[in-house]
Amino acid sequence: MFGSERLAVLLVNSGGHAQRSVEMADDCIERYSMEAFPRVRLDGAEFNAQVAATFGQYGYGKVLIDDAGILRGLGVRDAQFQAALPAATSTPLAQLEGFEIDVRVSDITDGRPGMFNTDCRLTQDVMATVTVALNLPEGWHVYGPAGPTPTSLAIDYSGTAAPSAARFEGHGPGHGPDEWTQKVELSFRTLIRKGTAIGRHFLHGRLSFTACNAEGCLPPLELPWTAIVDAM
Amino acid sequence: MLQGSLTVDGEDFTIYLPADTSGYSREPRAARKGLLTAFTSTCLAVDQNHDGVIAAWESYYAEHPLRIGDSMFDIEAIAEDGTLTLAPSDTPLAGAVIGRQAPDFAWTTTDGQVLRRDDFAGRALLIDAWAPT
Repeated sequence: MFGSERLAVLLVNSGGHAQRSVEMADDCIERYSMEAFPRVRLDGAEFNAQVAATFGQYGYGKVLIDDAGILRGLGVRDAQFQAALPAATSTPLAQLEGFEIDVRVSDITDGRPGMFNTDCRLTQDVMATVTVALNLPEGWHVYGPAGPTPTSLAIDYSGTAAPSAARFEGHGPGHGPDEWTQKVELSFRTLIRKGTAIGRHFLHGRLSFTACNAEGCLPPLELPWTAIVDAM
Repeated sequence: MLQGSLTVDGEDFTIYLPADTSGYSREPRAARKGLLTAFTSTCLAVDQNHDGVIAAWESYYAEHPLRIGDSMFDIEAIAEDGTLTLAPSDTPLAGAVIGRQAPDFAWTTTDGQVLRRDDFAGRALLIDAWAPT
């Protein structure tokens, strides 16, 4: 299952250099058909010095780095790895040159009205508008809600910021149904409830779209974004 | 738990230290013997993703240069009251911060090839660190 154009695998064996360990490692690699993957063998002290000093205090386990060099998982168990893998391998950067995501937060309401309020929690709900914009390079287009592969937002609900459904707005002349050539924007209102601590709130999500040009379409893409709402 | 803050490259970070009655140490307290011996310097935490929660991957041992955001610092001293003295470090980026650039590495494979992170640019990379024994 491992190893593809999108995913490389590097095996780091910390089993030592004793002949018995080497034989066992080779046996495991053969049994699980991992012969094709590059292998590094480090003894215990060297393992600590190299792996742990590079990635922190971690020893055994998996490290997942996406195709842009961003660390996506550490010490991940198999189920977590399976969940993290699609996002880590979904951005063919070489094909995405010129695509930019821009995130704006606006219209933040006051969460602590009153001049003499020293409470460190919001005394009323805070509302803010979050706009996630995708700027397209020349020659590319994406689709709106009525198009064949609509651009959409997934918003991770963190517990303090409740988002509404996103509103779509497209810019730039297209040729097909609900087709946009310069920029698309998805905006939503988010609610941070009263009683929440004042300060900086983070909202994470993913923008999904299919980009096409005159020659064809890229595979569906998913780019992460983060919005910061300063509620006070 | 002691708590302090630091601004790095315009970004505010919260740093946590345990309330260690046995004293702090930026050096290992005991010699390491092999793989399974734990690190023994003071363990501190940096809320790298600002979520107010200390995850396991946000904990670091003082014997290594400390990564805060995308910058490296040397821990020059930890005073008895927990005051940290940090200095910018020339150490290459190291330490795990999920969602940020992964550290580089240069490991020699069993067939003599030196592999670095950039050798895998454009592909996701799974590093599977394991042992058969």
